[in-house]
Amino acid sequence: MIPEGVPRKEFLAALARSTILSQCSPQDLAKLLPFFRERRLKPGEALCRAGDLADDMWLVLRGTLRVMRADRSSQEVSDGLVGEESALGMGRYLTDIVAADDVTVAAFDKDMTPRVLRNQSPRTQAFGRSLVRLFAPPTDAEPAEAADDDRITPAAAVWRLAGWLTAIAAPLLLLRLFEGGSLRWEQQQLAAVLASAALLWIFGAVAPYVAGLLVIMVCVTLGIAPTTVVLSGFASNGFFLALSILCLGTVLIESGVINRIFLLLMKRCYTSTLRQDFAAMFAGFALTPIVPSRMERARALAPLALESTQTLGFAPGSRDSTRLLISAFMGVTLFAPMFLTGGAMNLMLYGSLPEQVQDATPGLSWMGDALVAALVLVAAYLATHRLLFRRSEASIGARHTIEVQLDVLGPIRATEWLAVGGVVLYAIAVATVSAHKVDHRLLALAVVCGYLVLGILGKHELNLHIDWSTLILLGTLIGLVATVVSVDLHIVIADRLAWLSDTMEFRPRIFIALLAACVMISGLWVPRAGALIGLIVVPLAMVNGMNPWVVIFTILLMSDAWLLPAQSNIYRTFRDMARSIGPFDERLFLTFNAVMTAARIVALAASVVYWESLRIL
Amino acid sequence: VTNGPVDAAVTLDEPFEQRAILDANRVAATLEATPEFAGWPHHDLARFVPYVWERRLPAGTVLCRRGEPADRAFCMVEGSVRCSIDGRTVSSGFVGHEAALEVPAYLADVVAATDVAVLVVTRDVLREFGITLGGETLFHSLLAHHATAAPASAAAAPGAEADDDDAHPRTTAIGWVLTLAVPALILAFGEGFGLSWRQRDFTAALSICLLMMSFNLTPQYAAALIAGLICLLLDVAPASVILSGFASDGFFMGLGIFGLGAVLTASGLAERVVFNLLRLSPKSPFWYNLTFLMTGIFMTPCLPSANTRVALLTPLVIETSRALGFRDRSREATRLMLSMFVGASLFAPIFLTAKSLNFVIHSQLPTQVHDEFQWLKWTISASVAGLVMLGLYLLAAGLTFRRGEAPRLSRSHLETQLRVLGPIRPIEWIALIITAAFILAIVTYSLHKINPSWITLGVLSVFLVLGTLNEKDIRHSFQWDVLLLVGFFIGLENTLDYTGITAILTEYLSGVTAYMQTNFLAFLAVLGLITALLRLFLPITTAGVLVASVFLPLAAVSGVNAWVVGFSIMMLAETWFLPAQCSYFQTMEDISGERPVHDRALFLRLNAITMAIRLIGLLASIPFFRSIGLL
Repeated sequence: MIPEGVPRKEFLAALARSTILSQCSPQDLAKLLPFFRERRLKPGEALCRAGDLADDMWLVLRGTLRVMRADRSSQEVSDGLVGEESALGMGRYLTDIVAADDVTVAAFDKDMTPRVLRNQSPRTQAFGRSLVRLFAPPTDAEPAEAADDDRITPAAAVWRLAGWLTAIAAPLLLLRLFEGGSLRWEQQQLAAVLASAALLWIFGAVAPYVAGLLVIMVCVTLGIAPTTVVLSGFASNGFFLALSILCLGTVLIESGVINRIFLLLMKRCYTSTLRQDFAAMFAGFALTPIVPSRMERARALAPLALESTQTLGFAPGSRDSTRLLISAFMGVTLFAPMFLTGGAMNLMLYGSLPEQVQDATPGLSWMGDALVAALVLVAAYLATHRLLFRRSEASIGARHTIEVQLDVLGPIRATEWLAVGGVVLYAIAVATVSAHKVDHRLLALAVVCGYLVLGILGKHELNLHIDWSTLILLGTLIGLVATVVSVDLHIVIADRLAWLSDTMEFRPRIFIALLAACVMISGLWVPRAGALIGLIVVPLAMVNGMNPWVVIFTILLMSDAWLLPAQSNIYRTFRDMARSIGPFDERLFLTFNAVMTAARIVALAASVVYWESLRIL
Repeated sequence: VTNGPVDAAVTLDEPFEQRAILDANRVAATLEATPEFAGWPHHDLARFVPYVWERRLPAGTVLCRRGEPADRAFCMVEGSVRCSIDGRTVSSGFVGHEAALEVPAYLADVVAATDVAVLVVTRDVLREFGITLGGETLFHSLLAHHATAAPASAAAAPGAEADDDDAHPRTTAIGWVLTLAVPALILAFGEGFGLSWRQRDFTAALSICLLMMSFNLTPQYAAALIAGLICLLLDVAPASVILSGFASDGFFMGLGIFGLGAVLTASGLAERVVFNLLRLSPKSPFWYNLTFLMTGIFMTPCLPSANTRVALLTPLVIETSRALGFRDRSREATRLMLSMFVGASLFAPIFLTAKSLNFVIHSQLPTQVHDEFQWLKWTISASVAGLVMLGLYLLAAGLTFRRGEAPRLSRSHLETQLRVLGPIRPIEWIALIITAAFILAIVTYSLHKINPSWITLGVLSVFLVLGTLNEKDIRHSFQWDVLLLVGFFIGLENTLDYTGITAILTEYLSGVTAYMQTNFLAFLAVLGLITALLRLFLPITTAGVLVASVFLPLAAVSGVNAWVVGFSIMMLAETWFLPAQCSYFQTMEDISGERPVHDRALFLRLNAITMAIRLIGLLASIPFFRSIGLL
């Protein structure tokens, strides 16, 4: 956080004197401020020695430092940065830096360096480093940079190979079994292809969207169903709803307005633990219906939560630091099933419903039907919070840092106004669907068109910031459900699995329990298992007269339940970010999460009773 | 150091003919081991080679003198040099590369401590390969602490210059006024012209799209998306019709071809082919030009975007032109660039998979013609035009460039490039095998009858399964904006049909239809006139699609082969004379930057000749079309 002893104006002036930091955007600078650590030096005291591991960079606030050169001359530095070796990835400091008089510096970790300062191409970096080393030769061997190891382990390779073998054997076996049976040719082929792709997906031999592409390729090549049906997912309103919401989220995140709103929330809420947690959780909650990608939400909010732990003076790994991170994590993930646009899988499964069912399930009705589950989860969160975090540290100095951050951000920019304006407009349009009767799936696209006309959303954002692989998966899944229905494979499955159909029709509670268990268990090792299960179960629900939304909601609610860190890449994102600045209390986090996983089961049970009262089950 | 310093400033400026690589093997090994080049793809490093030359310098030679302009850097090949900072010797990597940080003058003296061999690299070359850091960066800040003379902060690197703001406010304002007024007028008076509400609303939506595109108010894909949204909101047709483009084979072929293009670009196969062709071709301007012409033609069916082809080949032409010793903007250098440009663009209508416009027009063909004119039949039917254009271009180029400079290709540079490339790498094998299989599958369509779109999708799937392409490539190498444009255009064309506007147009243009049947040449003249007028305002794809959406249904009605009409439209839509009319010419100029090798005026004059050749090619095809029963 910003040194208490340095007045706001003096600190801002020191920032402005740094020609390097002044190149950062206000958003980047505001994010950096909480990570500053004050350090005071007496005359002659060394800030660093040549050969020390280069972890920190320093902004000179007061006094003069002396940088010793290789040719035995020295340079005096009384403003700007020193210790640039750390951010440039050079491993060790190249020289001694000592205080010439009483010196105050603000230190920050190399990992916190704003990206724009490290944004040079690797080629230029290599030449830049080499030139610097020519003038300041390293005194010690530099620590090797951690290389990204993309190699898969032997066990994973064997697992994938098993996936390929079963994916080849299963369709052959199925086709042999179907020989002479009552299944039509296209039903046999589709069942075989689906089984093969599902095995590739389950074994992780290929990414889910590649498995989807393979299936549609085989379907159109063999002529299992008309191409207009197989590819219908790409020409559906559901596909464009997903594309539009992803665009909307991109504009919101890129505008930087989330950072400002989060700071304003924290400024009001920093005084008590419950308020702090409310702010962290509310930010995630508010983003959920607008930014459908959980990962994007996590990438936007995890750094802000981490930044707040520093602003509030919580030590890394402390209970309070973990508490705030948990709240942000819960905000990002807990409410995803409650909104139609809360996640990519929501849009996938929703898009696979027949047009009439989609029309009959606007966003508001979705939220209304999910209300009980949301309330149960919030209650569980509050209860767990009270139980685990009764005693908390008082935060100190937060207001000072937040105010400087807001000063640095400056007045609200036009892009921020437009980003928020678009979202508000969208929210109003969705809320008043019954008045204007415009298809709710087209409203987001209309806002996106506005952004395109105003130039806020461009080719660059469209190509690079939209998760096209998820959209491909979405298009293929919607098309495959249509194909399954088109060749009546769902009816065949319903006939063959009569017990399941009976359970769906006459004992819906048991079916919901079975489905929830199935989603939870398969989620232990299959990525996006819910989508795969939905591919079969949603058409079955349609055949058996069960409300498909109930099936979808159950899948979504339980898909987010996890126990092992390997199951949740969102958790790993939070964890890795937290570990980048210090220790992290994984046990506490996982305990809290385990309780919330149990709460999901309770929420589902309560929802079943609620749905029965609404007669949608 | 045995002798006193020897000033090398003059001797390093040797004439081009003497710039050579003395030992290709050693230089290739040095480049691969130089730490500054770590992580460079081999084909990029090979492209770097023509710009450098090797020098042997005796001990005591001053390579860099502090304060003098830092206009070249030195890569150590053999021996060692001494830096004046601390008297340390350096025997590997670069020295004198202050240019990398845009520092104007050398910050230290560098003197050969022993006899040395170095590669000389000029500041411009570092810039062209993206090794430059303008402004104030952390590197400058750090260097300033260590260098006695603080590095002056130079201006930002060229290439990062401010956007060329060529928007004309008045034109834009007129565009917006028309975009609001024209659809309003259509909505107000459309029914008076006998249009149903669907037709009226659709015409209004289409007019918005076209006006936005004509006046450059939004990017093309945005205009198409807005038109699509308006159609959806006004319910002029079911969503399944308006969005049908995204479920069409044209869209998926585009998707697959982008995948193929991404792999071909990343593999370095193109570089290897060009280097080998240059090595094998006789040492004459004709053969070097033919190499680039044929490379462009070979790439045309494999990469579905003229922009991508030109973008991939332009740097290779620039490097080769300089390696051949052609002066920048000389006739020979211009010829080389033109050969590449013609190869990469002129033959686009000959191959189904050459451009997004081709996919769209193919999708618009009546079902029977669509199925009949797959890749092979398309190419065969267009082959006469292709051969005539090829022959005439070679003739015209031969006549225009009778007396040119003799090329001075440095064989040693070429040898070094091939050494740096090394043996064929797995990714090149994959690219090569899959491309060959792809072409084979497409050529043998008549045997297996699998729609080439699904073959292309299969190619994409194979790349994804093998991991040659991944999620990152899908974002970075696929032009989703182009795919959105293709999808919406096909959808709008289907909507045009659904609303019955096609039938109305057919009726209105019955005069032209009569020409189509009775006098095809007169029809072509009318078509050419309309296309040329539209091309004054609209880009190639937009104008082509628009003309096709009107005339292809007419062709179907009047019994003229729709493919012939579509092919004619493609040939005519690709015609351009002004630089602003052609996006891939702009791409070429952008890549050439401030130091183009071609002479712009000469290039444009020669381009006008190739446009005439294009028209002759089209006219020459008519008897062929008649002979095979297409007319």
